[in-house]
Amino acid sequence: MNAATVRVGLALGATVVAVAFRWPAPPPLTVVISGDTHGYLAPCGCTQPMTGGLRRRMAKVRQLAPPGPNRARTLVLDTGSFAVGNGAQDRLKAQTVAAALRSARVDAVAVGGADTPEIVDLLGPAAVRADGKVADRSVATSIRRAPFAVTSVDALASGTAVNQAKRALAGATVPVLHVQGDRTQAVAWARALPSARLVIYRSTADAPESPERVGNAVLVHPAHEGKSVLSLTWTGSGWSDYTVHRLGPEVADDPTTLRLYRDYLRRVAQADLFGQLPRTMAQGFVGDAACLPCHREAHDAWKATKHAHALETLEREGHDRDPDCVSCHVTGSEAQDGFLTRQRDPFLASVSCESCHGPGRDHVAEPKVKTRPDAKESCQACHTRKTSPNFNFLTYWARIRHGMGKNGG
Amino acid sequence: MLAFAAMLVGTDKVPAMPVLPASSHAELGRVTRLLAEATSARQGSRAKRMLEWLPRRDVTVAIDAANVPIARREAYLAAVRLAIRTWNGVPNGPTIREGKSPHVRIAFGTRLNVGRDGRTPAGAAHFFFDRAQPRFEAVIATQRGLGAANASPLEVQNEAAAALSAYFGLAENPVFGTISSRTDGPANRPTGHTSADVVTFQRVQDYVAALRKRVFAGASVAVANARASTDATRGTHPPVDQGAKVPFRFQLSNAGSTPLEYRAVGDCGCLIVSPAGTLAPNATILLTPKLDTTDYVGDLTKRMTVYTNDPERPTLTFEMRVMVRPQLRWVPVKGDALTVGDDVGRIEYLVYGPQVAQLDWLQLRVDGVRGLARSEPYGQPIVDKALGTTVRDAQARRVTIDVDAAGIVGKRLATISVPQRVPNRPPFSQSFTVQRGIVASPPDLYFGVLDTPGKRMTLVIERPGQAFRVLGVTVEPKRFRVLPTKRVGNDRVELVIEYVGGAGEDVDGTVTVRTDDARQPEIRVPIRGIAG
Repeated sequence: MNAATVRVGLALGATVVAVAFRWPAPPPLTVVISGDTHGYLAPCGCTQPMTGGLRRRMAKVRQLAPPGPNRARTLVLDTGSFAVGNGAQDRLKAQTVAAALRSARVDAVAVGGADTPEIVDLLGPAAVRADGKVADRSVATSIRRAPFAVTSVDALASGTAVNQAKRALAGATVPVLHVQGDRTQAVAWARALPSARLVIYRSTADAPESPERVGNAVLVHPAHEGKSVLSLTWTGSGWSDYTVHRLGPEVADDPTTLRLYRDYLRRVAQADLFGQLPRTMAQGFVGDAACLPCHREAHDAWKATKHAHALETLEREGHDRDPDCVSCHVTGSEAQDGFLTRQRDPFLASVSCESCHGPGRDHVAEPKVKTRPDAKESCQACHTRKTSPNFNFLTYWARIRHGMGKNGG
Repeated sequence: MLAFAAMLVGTDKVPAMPVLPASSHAELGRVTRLLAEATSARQGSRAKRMLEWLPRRDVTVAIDAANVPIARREAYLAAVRLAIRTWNGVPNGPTIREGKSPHVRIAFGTRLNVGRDGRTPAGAAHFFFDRAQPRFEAVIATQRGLGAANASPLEVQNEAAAALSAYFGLAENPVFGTISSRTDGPANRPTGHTSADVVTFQRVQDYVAALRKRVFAGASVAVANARASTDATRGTHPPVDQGAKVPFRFQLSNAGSTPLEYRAVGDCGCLIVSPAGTLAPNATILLTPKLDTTDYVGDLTKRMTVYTNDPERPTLTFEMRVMVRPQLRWVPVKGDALTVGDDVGRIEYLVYGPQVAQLDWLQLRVDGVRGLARSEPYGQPIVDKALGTTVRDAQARRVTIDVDAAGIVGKRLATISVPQRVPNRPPFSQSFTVQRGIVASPPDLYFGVLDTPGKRMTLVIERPGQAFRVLGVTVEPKRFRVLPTKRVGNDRVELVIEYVGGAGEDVDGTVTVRTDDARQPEIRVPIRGIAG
């Protein structure tokens, strides 16, 4: 057997071994992107199925980036924008989101001028911003995990900002930019910083089905109000496997985030934020019991509708003191004599007669004084296209039809 | 011959070439192309055999659970059967039975390979075979995700339902979260059908029936040659007032030689779209989505996705953008925070927007602190930094609030509000803070989940412009400690509170800061955290 035969034999043997015992390929480098909560900790609305919510979002993040040896090959990013205002409830929301992101081990969160030092503390080392400052707290200028480096930039791609971003991302094979602005600004950044391979921006639209490419960069954004999570894979030369993970009811709640969320609801109730909402002067709300003696048929018909149990829906979910929800599930919460608590106002603790017909005090005192003639117009105060996109007066009226007879039923 | 063929299929006329339904699976288009080739080559027998490749209404399914570990086998079999039952429950839907000689085979595999599209299937791979029986095979993963966790029975159920959806010719639809487009994920409830799924199922069945009649009648089958084209995919509307329904117009044309089917879906309830239609060859229509801005202010972008039966452009995305001017906007003149001394402090807002004239300004009121509010017309331009605009509004007003410092200790949240004259609407309001004396920021320390020791929160104790001293700090419970205090000037102290571990249950504690101020000898700040 000569040397050439041996070499051929070895080569064949190696091939057979390689085929028989194929080495598992290393897991891909994956980037997971969530964010743009915009105050929506839970899905809101009357239409099924409702999508989004922090609890599902964190479940999806944990599923796409589970702890273990492969966690280092997944980079989890969040675009920030936790709440929309600076009120007491906005603060509680921002706290809850930041705590959930930290608990889910999110790697980098874009923080901006609207984020308070408290939120930066809660996020810990994941807080990242290009100029290194948020209020009076120092944060990382970039988060690095080879081959990635992530930094966050303001909307405007000015010369100074671009130079700062270049410094923050220097040396990285895959520079990633969080742009705290919209698509136009993201495109400007992709052009101003051609080394960027991934540009994440904010949008009020749903996540697109395929990412946009500008030069070397791929431009993406998660869905508005946290309705989806994105993932894409870095192959070594480009991006693949872009996937929009929509957060429908098939995604189970993350148990830790669920606890944080319940704690949030408890603190909302404890702070009595609903009780502190500004109200108009008393308008003359009397409750559905005052209508019953003369309008028994209409009252019975109403009793069988979902309107009559609107607050119970919230009570089951723990939202019965949540200012975001209660006003559309009770009667007259805008006025000082409207709903405040179930104990104080049992006859206003639902969407009852006066929600549509207006305060009844004058009509009860003198039946010749008619209630508001434009009851139909009241629906759209709560059934907006956003919260109740399928609302149609005729079909919805059929569900609550009442009071068409003499004397209003 | 034609009459004889028609008699065979029990009809007296050959149906027109049906239109490939929008939202149908790409496989349906592929088989149609192969049928067109066979019928144009007058290969009637071959074409008839191909008809077996199209989805049937009466379906036999075989479930092969040989690759499932014994401990999970029964649960997975039951899950697939539940999916079958779901499909059998569709009104006028299919009849699916288990049996031999199946049309559909549902099997299991530990891991799934990367598909032709370069993606790793989420939980099931679908294969359409040309010759062999069964026609359709789905392989469901028994492990999922990077962590290779065992698939739950509900996940298997949902994958099986999705596989059957693919067999019945439903395309993936990523906008509606239906079984035909459901995203991968841990499932806590089974996914169901939407009415859109049921309609597509029926239309696919009608399509298949028409193809069948044409083939048996010896008529040719035409390849769907719809070609969608559009004049623009982005539209920007000039700024509007909140509440406006903003119309957009996009042209959709069919440059092909067969009818173009389309179905439009908005990404928001606020986007009103004309849902579906058919466009004849060489015809053009205007798509006129309307964006309802009632619930939004600022820069608003929404998307409409149009699904078509054009094999080259099965989806078209249209982006709409508009700047929405708020109905009412409070712009702080010098911020939302007021620090008062011992007498009266003043905070001012400029208010603009079309709603200004609709408000009952006589009922302007302040809550949370004692104060007097008044408003007056304001004729100057208003710089709204948050929205990035400068506004000139003839209706604008300046609101001035004089806050009485008496009785305020620490930080207070206050509200200025003005009622609307429209029924059922809450007052328009704006929050601001008033502080007097020594103040702690934040007012309470929230630690979130107490899972790892070393978590730190900073507490700032300050009295702007007035020196004070911190005499001592204590923290309860002992699961927290205070790191060395940092003094900034003589009116601000920064304390870092660190979680040192050991919380087996939720924590409600207190940081107590003792000061040299006789009016505020103790500042108490609550601590909250939930067990890790």
